[in-house]
Amino acid sequence: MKTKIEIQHLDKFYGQKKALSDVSLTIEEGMFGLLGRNGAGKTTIMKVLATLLEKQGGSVKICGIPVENASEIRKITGYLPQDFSMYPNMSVYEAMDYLGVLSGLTKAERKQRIPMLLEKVNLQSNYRTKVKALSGGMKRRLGIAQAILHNPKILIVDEPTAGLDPEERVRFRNLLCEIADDRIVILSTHIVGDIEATCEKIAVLDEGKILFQGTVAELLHLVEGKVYKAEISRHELDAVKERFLVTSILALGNNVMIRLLAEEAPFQGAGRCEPGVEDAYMYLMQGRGDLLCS
Amino acid sequence: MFLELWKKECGQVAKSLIYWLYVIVLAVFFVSQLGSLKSHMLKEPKKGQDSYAEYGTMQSNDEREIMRTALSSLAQGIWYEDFTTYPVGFVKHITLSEEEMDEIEGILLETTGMSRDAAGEDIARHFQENNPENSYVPYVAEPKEGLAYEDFLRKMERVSEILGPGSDFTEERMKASAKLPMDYEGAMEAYRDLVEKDGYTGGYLRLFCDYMGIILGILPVFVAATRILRDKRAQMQDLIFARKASSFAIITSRYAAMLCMMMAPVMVLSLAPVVECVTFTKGSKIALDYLAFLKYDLGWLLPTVMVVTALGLFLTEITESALAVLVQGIWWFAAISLGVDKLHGGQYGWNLIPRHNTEINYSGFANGYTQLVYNRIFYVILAIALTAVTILIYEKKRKGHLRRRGKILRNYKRTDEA
Repeated sequence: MKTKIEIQHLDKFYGQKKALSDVSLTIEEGMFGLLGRNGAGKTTIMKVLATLLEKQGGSVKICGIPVENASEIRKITGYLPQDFSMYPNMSVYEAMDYLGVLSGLTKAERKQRIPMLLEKVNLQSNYRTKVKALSGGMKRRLGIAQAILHNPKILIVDEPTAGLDPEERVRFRNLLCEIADDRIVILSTHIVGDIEATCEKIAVLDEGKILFQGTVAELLHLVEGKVYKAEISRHELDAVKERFLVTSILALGNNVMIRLLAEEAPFQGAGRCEPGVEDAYMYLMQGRGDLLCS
Repeated sequence: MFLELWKKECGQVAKSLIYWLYVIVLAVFFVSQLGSLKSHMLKEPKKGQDSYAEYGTMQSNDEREIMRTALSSLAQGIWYEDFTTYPVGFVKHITLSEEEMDEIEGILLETTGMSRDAAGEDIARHFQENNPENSYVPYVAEPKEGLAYEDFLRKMERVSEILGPGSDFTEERMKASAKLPMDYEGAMEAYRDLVEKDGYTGGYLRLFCDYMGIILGILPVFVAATRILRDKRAQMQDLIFARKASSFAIITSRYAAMLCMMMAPVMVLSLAPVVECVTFTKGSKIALDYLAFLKYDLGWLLPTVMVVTALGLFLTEITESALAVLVQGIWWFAAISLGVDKLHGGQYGWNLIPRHNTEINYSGFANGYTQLVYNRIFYVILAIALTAVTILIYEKKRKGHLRRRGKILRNYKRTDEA
């Protein structure tokens, strides 16, 4: 069976509120990024895939297995929740061993896999460290190790870099890329840099709807020729912000260097530049061309 | 997977502070309420011995006997300044104010004609003449000449009011206490029952079950509730829910581990009466029932532990709060209160905590045995049913229903607010 996730017309409600609306996605082997602001529905999709939420409409198949068949899905998926935590008084090894039993691994399998995975996430010298004594980054790495303990075909990682310092974030992203070699890794985040650095294919989600689905190159193509760079005085900034979508501001004494989105050259002195994922993301989030005033 | 999970869960219970508190409370309760049984151990009665009080008593409905028994207890309470009540099944020592003591002394004077000092002299004289070290002859205070039974009851009602709930001076308790001293034949029958039908150890293990049933009617709920709440506190629910293990395997392994871990200290403590019986009967020809502790621990106490634990699991899983402790506390209080006047055993009914606060009264045990078996089976079935419902609730929660925390619930709240 091919490693593939097929989501067709997925709907999900919380009470009266529609959390996901007609979401359709196809995800194949490799890193896949789900990008969207807080409350966009990323966690809901992740939880539906991890069988932690029931869908109300549409169909979801993981490696050909309908998500309703939770016991089979759980065998092939690994999940790292956003608020990952473990019993604080357990040691790293004990925590892995406990979750290994819950994943149905035999004693021999656990003995073989746990040291290997702890080494992979660079926690080999922390076997006996209590979970409560781990730093935020170490905890996240432990989270990844527990999620791939039973060697799942699908790894679901919900906002894994939130709260990590830049060094840990880079280390963590690299780790995810290594793991994605032979499986699907779905990464949800609202941090554009995480997606830019790790994912080849992405989907952008807002208010429960898919705004974009494709490769990073395709996303960048949306704003090709629409990103400008200019140095203006601080006094002009408010007026520019009113007319254009400004995606970054860099202070330079009394002046500021800005990046903005516009269909054509916005004013004299503004030069076209290479688009970034952040520009494209902002473009999508602000209702595409609607806000790119001339 | 079940066995591996069960072992892991046993380890989790063993590492929890609440479990060790459970063990300590259990041990302290055993020592303080039951302790050494050496002084209770019965020898074969001898014809003509001064008293057969240790073999029990015979019930009396005679009004004069009821008055004598109650007034004896009142006189001794006043002289030794030691009044006890059983408000919720536990002994409570009452300290009276000067005015209250004066009033009770006045009642003693009106009902027996004895002042406090006169009662003290009478008691001292009685025990000098009947040395309690050889054999115990109970002290008896005679009612005053012409004391009407109704007048006596009114005065004792006042004593009860002063002492508070659970006093020995209510009409019901006085009638239950009015007993005639056991004679040789009665003592011999009680002893033969203990030796021949109870294998000697059985009687003492019933007494053990009586005491331990009280504390096991409440303690397991703390262990169960804490175990479930630990998942919530450690934010482990999603991690566990997303695993391959079935809800049945997760809940039953937890339940079985808790039962084993909680019954282990009970079984160890129940060996104490057995060892004391072995020591006491050494050299005699009594055929001891060495394995009686298994029958009593598993047949009498395990159903209590099972149902209290299952209720703890069920209510904590569904509410994700410590509500189970409150509910079990109410049930426990009701069970203890209902059992207060059934301490002598034989009247087990459907009470969660069957009482048999004596090593004798085998006949009462035999008469109530069928009811006791029904009682215990009922609680085992109830425990299994509660565990089954807990599994269903757990399965629902694994699919995102009935959850009470997290981002998803916040979404629901926002919707509700909107």
